[in-house]
Amino acid sequence: MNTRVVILLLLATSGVLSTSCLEEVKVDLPSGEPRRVIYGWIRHDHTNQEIKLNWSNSYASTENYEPISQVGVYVYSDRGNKYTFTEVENTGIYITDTNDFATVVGASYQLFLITDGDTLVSYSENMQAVPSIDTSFVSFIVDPQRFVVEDEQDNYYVSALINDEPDVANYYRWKIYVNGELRNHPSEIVLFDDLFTDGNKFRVDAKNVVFKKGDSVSVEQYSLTSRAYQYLVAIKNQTDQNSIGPNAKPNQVIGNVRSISDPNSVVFGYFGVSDVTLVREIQWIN
Amino acid sequence: MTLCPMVSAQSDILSQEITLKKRRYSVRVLLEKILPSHDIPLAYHDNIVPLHKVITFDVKPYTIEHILDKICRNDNLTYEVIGGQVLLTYYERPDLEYKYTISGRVKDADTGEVLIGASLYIQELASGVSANAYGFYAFTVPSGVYHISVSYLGYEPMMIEVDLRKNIKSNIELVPKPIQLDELTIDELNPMEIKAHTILSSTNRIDMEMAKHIPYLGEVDVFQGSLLLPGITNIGEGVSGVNVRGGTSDQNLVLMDEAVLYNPNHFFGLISVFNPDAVNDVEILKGDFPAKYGGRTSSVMHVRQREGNEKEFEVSGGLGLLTSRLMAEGPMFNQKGSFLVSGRATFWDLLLRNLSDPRFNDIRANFQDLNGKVKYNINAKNKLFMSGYWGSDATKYGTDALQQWGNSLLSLRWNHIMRNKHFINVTSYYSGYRYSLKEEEEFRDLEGRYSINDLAVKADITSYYGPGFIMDWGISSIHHRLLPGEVIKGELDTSGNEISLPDETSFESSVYASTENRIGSKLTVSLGLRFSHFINDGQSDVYVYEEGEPLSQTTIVDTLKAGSDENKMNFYNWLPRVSLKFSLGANSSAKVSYSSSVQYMHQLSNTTSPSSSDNWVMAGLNVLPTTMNQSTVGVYKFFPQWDMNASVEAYYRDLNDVIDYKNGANLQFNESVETELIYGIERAYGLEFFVKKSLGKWTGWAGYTLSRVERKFDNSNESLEINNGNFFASDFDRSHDFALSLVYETEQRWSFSTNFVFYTGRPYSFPDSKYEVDGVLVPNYPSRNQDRLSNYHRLDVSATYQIKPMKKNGEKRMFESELVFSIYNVYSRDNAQAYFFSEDPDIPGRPTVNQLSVLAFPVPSVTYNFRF
Repeated sequence: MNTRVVILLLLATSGVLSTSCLEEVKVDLPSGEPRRVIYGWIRHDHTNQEIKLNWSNSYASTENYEPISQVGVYVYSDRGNKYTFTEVENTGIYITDTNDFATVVGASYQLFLITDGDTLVSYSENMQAVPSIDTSFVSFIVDPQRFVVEDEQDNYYVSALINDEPDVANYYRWKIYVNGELRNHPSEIVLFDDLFTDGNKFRVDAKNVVFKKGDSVSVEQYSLTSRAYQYLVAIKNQTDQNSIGPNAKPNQVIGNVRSISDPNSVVFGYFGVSDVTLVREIQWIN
Repeated sequence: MTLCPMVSAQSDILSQEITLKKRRYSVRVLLEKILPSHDIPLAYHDNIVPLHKVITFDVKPYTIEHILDKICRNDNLTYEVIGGQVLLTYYERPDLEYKYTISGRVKDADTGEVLIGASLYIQELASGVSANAYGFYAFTVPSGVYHISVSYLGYEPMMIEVDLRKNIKSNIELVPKPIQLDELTIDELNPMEIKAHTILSSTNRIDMEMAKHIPYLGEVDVFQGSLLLPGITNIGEGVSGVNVRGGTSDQNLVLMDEAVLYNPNHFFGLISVFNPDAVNDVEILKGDFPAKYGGRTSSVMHVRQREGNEKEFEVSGGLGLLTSRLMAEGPMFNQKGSFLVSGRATFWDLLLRNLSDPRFNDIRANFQDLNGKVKYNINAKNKLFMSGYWGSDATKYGTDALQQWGNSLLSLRWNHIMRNKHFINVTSYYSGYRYSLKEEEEFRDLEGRYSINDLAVKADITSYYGPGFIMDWGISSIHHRLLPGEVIKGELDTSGNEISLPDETSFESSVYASTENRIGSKLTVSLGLRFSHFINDGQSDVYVYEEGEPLSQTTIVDTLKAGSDENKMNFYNWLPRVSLKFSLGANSSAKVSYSSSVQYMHQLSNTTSPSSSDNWVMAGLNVLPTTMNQSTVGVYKFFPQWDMNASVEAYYRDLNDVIDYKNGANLQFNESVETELIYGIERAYGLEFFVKKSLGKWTGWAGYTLSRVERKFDNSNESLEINNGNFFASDFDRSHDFALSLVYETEQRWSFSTNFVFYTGRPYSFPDSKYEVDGVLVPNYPSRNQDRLSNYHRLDVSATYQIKPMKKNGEKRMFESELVFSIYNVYSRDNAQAYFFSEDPDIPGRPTVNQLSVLAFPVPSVTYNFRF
């Protein structure tokens, strides 16, 4: 029996798809009306923050997203602070006026957008403390002591131990940078919580972000609110559907920004806040 | 006709009731002691009364009339009441007033295996019956000489002459017919296969002999074979679940020898847990349930295993692409019983472990299963059966967690034949399903698991009162114990907390009765009623939610403590089942049927196909049962000139309280999983055409279904709606579904077969726009299932070669073997299983649509089967 056929069959049935099973096709797609997309994520470790506003476009379009300009963009904190954002030259990117947006862990923040005839507002987001990464190290998928692992083979991933705060529901996101580049494919979104590990030193393995031997790897660890975590899980479920195994049913992902004037209008995106801890240059153990 | 005349003027004597304290009395004792002791004046002559005749009673009150009827029955005797005295007189009873029962089993003469559905046709009465699932038959007819033809597909037909002057027990052994295809005649057709003759609608049987010639990826499989029948579909290749008339896979009542199976899939859904070597019969009921079945709302798939060879020891087995199997069977208990043991496993693990490529070496994908069955014939009227099944699957990819799951079954059955006409089957079984996920690393060493365990007892009785009147009745009770989830820490673990959701328990009980009654020469009526009761014991805390508000963590207003009375929840349902068959001639009929059912156990799965890790939940205070009503109209015709069955059925099914899920529902380890559920309605309707030819060199079938399955989730709260509360196509909707299977057997050693399938692509959700979140392209799906995948079609071929079946001297070899060659998807059709809407990995920002095709290439396979 042709071993290649056998292997292809197993691959096909096991969800480890070979690229030959995926083929780009053209299908007739419906065309939806443009919707507002609001995205901003306030980081505790930054003092200059950014909010992006643009319009969605049809799925098949290869045009850039049309920016939403001339909007009054403000962030209010429950500590009585107001931060004003200013657009960068009709790009739909709004940044803080000054570099003094110093956030406070434990404080809550809310986004307000004032446009012609409409006001959009986000739910209040609380900036929760993020525990530090206790230990981080590189793990392997295939044991290089047992098998020949080629230098170009993506065989390694980041592992870490985290000291979780007890009696608090914590939600986390990792952003992993390999050789300075953010790994941001939907399959590489790393999200986890402490549902089963509350208050413990627990281990995280980012097996979905693999890299080569010797790569320079850094990790940013974000704290998330429950709502932000659910939103990012939904984004991952809707965008990371590349196996024959059970996939999430497609649906519309709605974030935390609403129109006050027209509550039924759909607004995409999310306004989030996170405390962030960073581990640069994760150590390789030979 | 009245056996003994009634005397209305003195009916007070006859209607007097007395209680008999014993079960058996001689006529002498009745006449000389029992009746006189109750002041019943009697007059009779010893010469005409059968004083030694023994009559059996139940211990309960009987009227004098009933006792006298029994004394007179089948004897030249009658009674009348004259002047307040009961007078027993001579009566020249015509032959037609004597009624006797002939009963027995129909078996294979070589192996002793019962022949389910074998036909017994009484020529003098132009009427017949079919052997039941245990090969038992019975009919009570007036005394006389009868010619009964007994037939079963693939066996020499037999004609027996019976001079029926007393109750007769007659086991009939049919001899398997050598393969001489030209000699097969329509008389040998299994009447269960002639749909025009049976009362049931929406029924298919999988012909295992034919199925063996139609391998799927080199394997013979019950579920894959069923997908070629009208109304039965699945989501695609390599995924679990079979959908019947648009129902979800958890709505199928899958039975193995009367016991419920919770996960009938092995190996990514490519094959089912049923070892084809051990399967005797597969009955599929697509919603028109007889009263004896309940608990699910889509279909019954009852797989009955073989009982084992009663005559000689035999070994068989095979090596295939996915499985290797071995089976032994033979007589035991000094020929008073038989056994069957079979096992299957895949050798993929061995193959993968020895590959030098580490990407494959680290993959684990295996399964094993064991089947066993023992039959013990206590005596002519009593048999005991013990059946067991154990299966285990395991998968692990690289460093991922090890997942293991499997079913376990153990059933004990007792068959008893009472008074030659009542067939009693008492079953007690255990059925369990277990799933676990294990990780064993430094700092994280844990096992998560859930399980479901059923203990059941049931009694099913079939009473054969005559060829035209059969009654089924019975009772059953199932105790469900559900472990919703627990996490156990290992020695190396520092990460986790042990978690255990409390067990949930319930009782699901039912009582049913149905009659099948022929009225006149044209009409047969089946009336059935099933009473169903379900009680959730409330063994875990239950949340109370604010009335009128969606169930969520924020609307919890109270907690009912585990074990409290108010926590228990009862459901009662009366479920009528009606079928009418109107004969349109010797070989054609029209049928109308109505059936209703209720389902209390749901598998929670918010993905497009079920996963082995998907847990079950039981109805309770916050989880509703699903109810179903189905009506079917059909016309059925058998064309003897072509040996062909044809049928057309139209059906309409509606379901209430079908379950769907909120976006992003968390269904694992969730103490308030009810907050993730939404309820709606479903309607399914369609036309099914089916043609099947079972005899001759050319055999096979063709089925075409035109259907629609829609769901509606309408609620005043937007978060509990889908598609704005409008009907939308279910995931399992297929407008057109056509399947053709053909088998050609040559006079020589070869046989050939082919399948062709075509069906409409399943409903799918297409994005109408896209946007970007933190550098990730996000497609927006405005509504569910408004579009479809492209149409599916595929051609498979196979050839079977018997290796030297005969010795040089012309004798049949003891060791039989064959090679089966098959090619799946001959013309490399790229069938769409899914579309993925994602960003081009090479060109940032460029949207793409990629079609997933699973087995988009011809898959050849060779299987070797043997038997000795």
